[in-house]
Amino acid sequence: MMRLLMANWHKWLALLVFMQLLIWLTTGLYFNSLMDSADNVTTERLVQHEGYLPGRQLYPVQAIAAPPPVAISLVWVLGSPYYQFDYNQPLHDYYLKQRRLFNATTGVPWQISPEQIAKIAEQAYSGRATGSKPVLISPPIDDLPRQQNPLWQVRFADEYSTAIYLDALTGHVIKHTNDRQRFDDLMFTLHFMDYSGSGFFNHPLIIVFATATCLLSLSGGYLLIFGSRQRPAAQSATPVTLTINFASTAEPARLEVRPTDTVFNALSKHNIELPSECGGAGTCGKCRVQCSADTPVNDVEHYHLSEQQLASGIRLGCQQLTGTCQQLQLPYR
Amino acid sequence: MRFVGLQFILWAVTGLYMVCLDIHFIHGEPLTHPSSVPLQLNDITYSTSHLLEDYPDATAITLVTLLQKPVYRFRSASGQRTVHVVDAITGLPVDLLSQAQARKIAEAAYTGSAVIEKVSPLISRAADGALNPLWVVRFDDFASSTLYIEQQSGRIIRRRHNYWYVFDWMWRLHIMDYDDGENVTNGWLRTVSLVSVLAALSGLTLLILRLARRRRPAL
Repeated sequence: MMRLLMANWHKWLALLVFMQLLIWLTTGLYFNSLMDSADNVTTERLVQHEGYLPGRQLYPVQAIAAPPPVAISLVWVLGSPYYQFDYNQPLHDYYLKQRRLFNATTGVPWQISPEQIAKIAEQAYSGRATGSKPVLISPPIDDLPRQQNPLWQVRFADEYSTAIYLDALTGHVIKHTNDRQRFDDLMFTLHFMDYSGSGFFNHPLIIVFATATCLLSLSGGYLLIFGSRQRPAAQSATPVTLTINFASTAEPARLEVRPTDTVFNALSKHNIELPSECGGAGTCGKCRVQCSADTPVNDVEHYHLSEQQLASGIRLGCQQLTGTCQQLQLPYR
Repeated sequence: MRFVGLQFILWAVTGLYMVCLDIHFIHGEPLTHPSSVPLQLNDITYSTSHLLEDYPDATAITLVTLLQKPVYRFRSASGQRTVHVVDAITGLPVDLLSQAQARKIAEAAYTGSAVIEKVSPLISRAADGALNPLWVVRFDDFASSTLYIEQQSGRIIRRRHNYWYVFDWMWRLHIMDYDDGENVTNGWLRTVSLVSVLAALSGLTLLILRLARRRRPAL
């Protein structure tokens, strides 16, 4: 009874994932049709940090009082050169970096000031609002869930609540964001079910839902191919009379039906709806009718009905042809 | 539903593959370990000041270790793309990487235990048409791990293995862009997503209608 098993699974899996399925479909459609990330942040402006080097005497790197790093870069901040000593070389910028900064002219350790951060943020912003006082914040940062390094944050009280995030050491702009960008981010959070804010899609919750959805769609495909129980329609067959006795009224109903129709379908054509969840597919077992006790029983009925019920003549309307079960009883019309 | 059923299955199967395999693994990040060798600063005789005298338009200057020697890597402000490498001891430009040197770099960075199967040259073409000569180092492991090393700079710029190629195809099937997998806004996807949303909403409507319907007592 593979089909019944599949149908049962299909029902419960659907109940589990249907909300997320709708979310996946609508957010997917959003990414496809409505999202335009390039248009989100229009107040972004490039900051020119680089100054003119030739002719400047730079401090020799080996004379700097620090343990030897893995790499040294010459970085610019507001027109002045600095040495950045890298003690690790992470594959992503958002991984935790171990660095130190030194003035490249004097060789002394250097620390950026909040005033300099404010100045850079102002240059990086082309809107009309003024920036808040820079704050150095530690991860986790809501706007940048993957970021593991502390960053400076400067907020602008404009229409879209713009925020600029800058590197803790160099003050270089890391991210420019606003409410339009945050809305796109929210769509990704929903699509990736990333409710813990990891910034990634490899977490147990989505793996469970993806597995369930896989089983749901595969069982759906199976039911689509093997599920329909279409009986051959024989137009030429002579109609038979189906007699229905109702427990509630004395008046029995006599219906002219085709002998090749199922009882379920025949009754449905005469507006008598048997209880059903599957619409006559044989998977829910709800469309019970009372036939005579010697009516033949099939596998599907064995699956859904007890021996006692079968012995007393209870059958499924969707499994019986009107040709073989012409007398039946229902609680009421 | 019959119209979009196959794509439903494809979305579910490809989605499952993509969420199950760690994205950093797919990008080949665990294939190499980052260099942690400290710079031999005392070996440096050619200072940054010297470098700027000789290359006044040098930009994005970095001092790193390449094959046990300190070198400067930089770009020139005029030709942003090309990476120049200059020896920090002799002050001379460093030649393009030889096949044997590429092999050494790959072996030092590779975290696996397999041996190199093949080292072959490749000239890759960037989006702007610039040519970039590479060494392609393939290891003899079960995933055919491959490192792409720039001949000019000695940097490992790409890490690939079979899981990446499978992922790439999963992605294309997921977004229904079968040529290069770069267009998420294609019309096919739009049509099928729209029909799917309607199919899902009709399913939800049917469920609500059935739950709301007066129930006939069962026998």
